[in-house]
Parts: sequence; C-alpha cells; structure tokens
Amino acid sequence: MGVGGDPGGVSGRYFQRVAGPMPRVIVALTMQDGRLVRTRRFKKPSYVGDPINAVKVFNDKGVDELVLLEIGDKPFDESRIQFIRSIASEAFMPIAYGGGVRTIEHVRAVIRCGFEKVVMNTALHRTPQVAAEAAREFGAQAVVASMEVGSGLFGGAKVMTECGRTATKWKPAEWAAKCEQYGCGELLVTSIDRDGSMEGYDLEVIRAVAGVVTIPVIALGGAGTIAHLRAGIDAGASAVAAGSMFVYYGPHRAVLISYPGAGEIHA
Amino acid sequence: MTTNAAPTRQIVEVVDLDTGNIGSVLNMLVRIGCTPRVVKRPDELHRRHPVLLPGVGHFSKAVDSLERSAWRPALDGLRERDWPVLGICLGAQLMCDSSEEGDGRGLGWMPTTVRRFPSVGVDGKPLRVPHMEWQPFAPPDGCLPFAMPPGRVYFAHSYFIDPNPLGDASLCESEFCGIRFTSVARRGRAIGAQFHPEKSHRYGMAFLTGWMQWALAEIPAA
Repeated sequence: MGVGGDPGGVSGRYFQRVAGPMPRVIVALTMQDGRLVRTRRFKKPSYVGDPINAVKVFNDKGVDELVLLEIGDKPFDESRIQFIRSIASEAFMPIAYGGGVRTIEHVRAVIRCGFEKVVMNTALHRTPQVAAEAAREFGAQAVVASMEVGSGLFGGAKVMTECGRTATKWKPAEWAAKCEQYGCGELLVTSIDRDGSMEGYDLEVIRAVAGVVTIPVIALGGAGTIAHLRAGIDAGASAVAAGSMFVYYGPHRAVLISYPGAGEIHA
Repeated sequence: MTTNAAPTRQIVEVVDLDTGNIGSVLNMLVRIGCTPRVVKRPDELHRRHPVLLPGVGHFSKAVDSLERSAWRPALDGLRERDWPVLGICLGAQLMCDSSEEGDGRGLGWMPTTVRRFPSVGVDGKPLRVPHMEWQPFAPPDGCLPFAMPPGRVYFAHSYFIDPNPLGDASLCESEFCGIRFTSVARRGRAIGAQFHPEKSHRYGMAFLTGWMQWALAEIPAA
C-alpha cells in the first residue's frame, strides 16, 4: 500500500494495492413459498428455517454476498414482492433474487425492493429480450443468468430449465455464450447432480463455461469444504457459492449457520 | 439557525433520477439513524440537508434524467455553493465530464473521464467484467474528511473513474488486474465513491455515518 505524501496539502492520496482477484464467497439460500429449504438434486425440499432470520445472521457474519432462490410454483405477485422486500431490508450486503422473474416489470419490482441483482433462468430461454432490457436499464452487473446443468439422456451435460424439470438442447458452454450475448453480467452455474451432496463442484462444467465467457462465473452445487471452494476458483470461477455448507439444521431443527472467515478462503 | 432545537433524526435528501435502485440506499440510511427524504423533482429540494446522489444503471439514461427534469441546474447550483453532496457508483461517475458508457455530458465537477475496463488486464490475462469484488479499504487519517476504521468495501462496476486527470481530487485509488481507478474522488464538499457503502456491511455504515456527521457540520450558512 503506497500513500503519496503531500506535506503542503490537507491529505495524501491513498492507493490500495490489490495483489490478485479476491473471489467472493456467496451464500445461496433456497426457498419454497417463502420457507428456507434444503434440497438434494433439486428434490426432497426439507424445511430449514425462516429466511429473514437467516439473512439477519448472515448479515452479522459479514458474508460477501447472498443469493435467494425461490423454487415454489406460486406466481410472482404482490405478496411475494412484499415478502422479499422484508428480506432485502435486512441485507446490508450485495443480495440477488431469483425465482419466477419473467418480465421487465418483475425485474423492476425486485430491484425496487433493494436487491441489486436479479437472477433469471427460464425467462432467458423464453423471452431473452427481458434480460437485455434489464441490462440496459440497470446495468449488466444487475442481471445474473442462472444455468442449471443436469445429465442428458445419453450422458453429457445439458442445460435444464424450470428448476431442473425440463431439459433443453443446449450444452453448458454454448448456452453460457448465449447468456453473455443477451447482456447478462454474471453467470450462476449450478450442478443439479451435485446439489446438496457436499461432495464438491462439477469442475468440468465450471471450466468449460469459464473458458468461453468473459463475465464472472459463480459455481454452485456440491461445495462442502473450503477445499471445494478453492477448487471452484482454480477451475475458473470468480465467485463460489454454497447452501448446505453454510446452512443446516441440528437435532432441534434450529438453523445452524456457519460461514468461514475471509482468511480461511483467501489464504 | 436555532441552536436549541430538539434533536431529531438527521435528514438526508436522496436524489431520485429514476434510473435504478435507491431501495438499498434508503434501507442503509434508516439503519444508521437517518431519515432519507426522496427527492423526485429538483424544485422539491429543500437545500437544508446533505444530499446523496445514488445510482445504479446506465450513464446515458441518468444524463437524460439530468436534462429532462432540470436536475442539472439544480445540482450545479448546489456545487456552486459548495454543498455537501455524496455520489455513489453511477452517482460518482455522473460527477465526471463524460463516460465511455454512452453519450451525454456528466456534471463536470470532477475533471476526468469514466472509462470502460479493457478486456485484457496489464498482466495479459482476460478481465472478467463487471468488476465485482470486496476490496480492503483503509485510508490513512486525514485522507477522507472524516475518520473511519479500516475495513473492506464492495465494488460492482464495468466502468471506472480515470484517476490520471484528477490529480489530488483522486483521494483514494484501487486496482483491478493492475488497472488503477479512483475509488473516492473529492472536490470541495462534493465526494464521489465508486464502491457501494450501502452494501458494505458495518464498513459501509461507518463510511456513511462519518460522511453524514461531517456533511451536517459543513452545510454552508444561507
């Protein structure tokens, strides 16, 4: 760190030297109709706790970033907006919301609540112009493409939509390039097979995707240890996300929350 | 100004250019004990309180709002009186002359250009833009006009304030893959912060609280 001396002036200029990129460690919370749940391979949602309380705890822990993903079937309506607004008002860190965002009005509603990022998945397949419009209006940094990767019928990774229920023809790398073209500023890559496993990311997919796009890539699905997070970064991710690793429940169904200190990850 | 007024929550006037997300700024101001007053039209500006110019969105769109709703003369009027104004992210970039993001003239308070991060860093490696990162932030005493503890702050931007033409107006600088950019610019009582204090936990709270207290003490007499 170099501080330029300026004996005659009121102050010196301050330069923060940064040795290298500092990957973000993101907490990904899955909700079903407003209840915090944990899933395995996108199935068997089990109740974990109250999202507002969890956000408060993560806020106190000083997490880098939060991603909230709603997997319930209910429509994106006024009651959902009110609910996610109450969550955003507790979050003094970057926070993203995804789930049921289909139109530019939905995007505006989410942003107005106090989220600075909107996550889109199914909408990118049906109406990609919504992403482009959102990026023009709020900047690319506000639009996150979520790509859920599963196994195709004959093996090989395939992009899925609608919370893993519907397969598309896209290979992850091809679809990633599309998302960047649409104007998305970030790419959340989730492995469906690894979801909830805590056995590590699908590094092959992360590598393939990070190799074709120039926007930041977030790895999600499978992280259970600090070593897994590091491996995701080594594979090319700019940020690493996890749910189960940070949120789980104990014998009394209390939400236990753990989040590593910055030193543990950036070491 | 009366000195024996009952203590009230301090008011901050938040300029709403209708370009993006002011929700998170309002949340944070309430959290630090302020009462944000959202100002949608320049003729509604009280000119009695510190002014915050937030902004998430596109430079050209914000410039359009400056022109269309006569915000430009109102804000320039504040600058002429050396009013305490804090610009955040796009708000800070708007204080500059122009931006590579799009057409239109900025406010021109900070004599520099807003540039796009190149696709390759000085190390020859590709840059992943937008730059989204928490970085250490620990300006020494006397650098900022108010004190704050060392900590870290959150950046999310594809464009950066070029520090070179700014000279001493570039108070704090940081880097992204070797590309040096201004993180805090200052001209008189106008301050622009590239990072998001409203999204930087307790460090952002400390920054905004420090600015608020300083700004209140610095409001020019009528």
